[in-house]
Amino acid sequence: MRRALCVLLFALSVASLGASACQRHPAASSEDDAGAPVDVEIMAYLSEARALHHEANLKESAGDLPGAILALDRLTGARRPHEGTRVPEVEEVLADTYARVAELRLRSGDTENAGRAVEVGLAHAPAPTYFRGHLLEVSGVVEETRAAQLLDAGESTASAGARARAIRLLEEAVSVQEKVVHESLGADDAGEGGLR
Amino acid sequence: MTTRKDRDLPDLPDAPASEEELARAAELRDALGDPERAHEDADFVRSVALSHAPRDLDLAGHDEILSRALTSRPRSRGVVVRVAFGVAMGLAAAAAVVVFLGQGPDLSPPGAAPLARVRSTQPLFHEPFAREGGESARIDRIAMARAGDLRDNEFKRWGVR
Repeated sequence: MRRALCVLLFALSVASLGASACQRHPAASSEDDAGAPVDVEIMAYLSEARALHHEANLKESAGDLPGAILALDRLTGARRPHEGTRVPEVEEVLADTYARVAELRLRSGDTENAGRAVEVGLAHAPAPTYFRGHLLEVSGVVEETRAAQLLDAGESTASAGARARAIRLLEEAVSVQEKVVHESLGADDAGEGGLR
Repeated sequence: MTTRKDRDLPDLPDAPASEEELARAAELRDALGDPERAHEDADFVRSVALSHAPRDLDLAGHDEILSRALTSRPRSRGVVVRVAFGVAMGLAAAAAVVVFLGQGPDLSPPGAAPLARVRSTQPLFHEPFAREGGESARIDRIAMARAGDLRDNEFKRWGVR
């Protein structure tokens, strides 16, 4: 009988260990959901991004648009922190960088590559955010420019198609921005506002 | 003259043995010489010695241990053990399910400061971006905000509040 009690006590110990393990598991899961802690690797990437954007500023202000694009291309091609894991900061910086690349290419008259840059950028901002709204806006402008170019080339039908796409994209941009503004105001009312 | 300081000091290792110590040493020596004699310290010393250099178990002693173990065990005890184990495992499974569903107590260490985690930078901006430009100003703001987060995380990891 004493042995049975010993076994019972042992099994109960196992039970409490199992329970502890199960209790810790959801906590780890919720941490994963919330994302990894901000660390040196992420900060190093953001610092690199900041430096390359400022380098692009200097090139752009000197009228060197290809140089500015090259600086940003280095950023989009740079090794990303925690590869295989989605880091929102990195995704949003990339979305914004592709928007800038698209603007610079558009100013250089490279409508095709501007459109491609926007397309890649949109993949980095799938949720309705200012980043996605901005990319949709740039995308609309790219299509607007394409419509003008096609009209100049005498391709009125293709131009009308590009014009229609521009309107649709710009409307979509407005819709996303309105949604984000609405949510942002709601978050402010709930006391969750960020920096102003 | 014995001063207060002398009285408070423990006995020095090289000090002469007291009568009591001599008597206990003799008891231990006798007990070590006679394994039949019950003596707690002698048993301990033998355990230490055998754990370092165990003696071979002679065949007769081995047979005796085996036969004692196999014959003195009633059959019903095994059933009781299995039933007790089964009941306990059932309890264990139930407890695990309850705690897994979030009904259990919070066993996380109290006072552990949460670290700043990666998240959308959207809350850093309160209005739609300008149609053109402003990207480097935005990355400035993002980098500065996350630099602050990283600094806070480092302090928390170092235990600085």
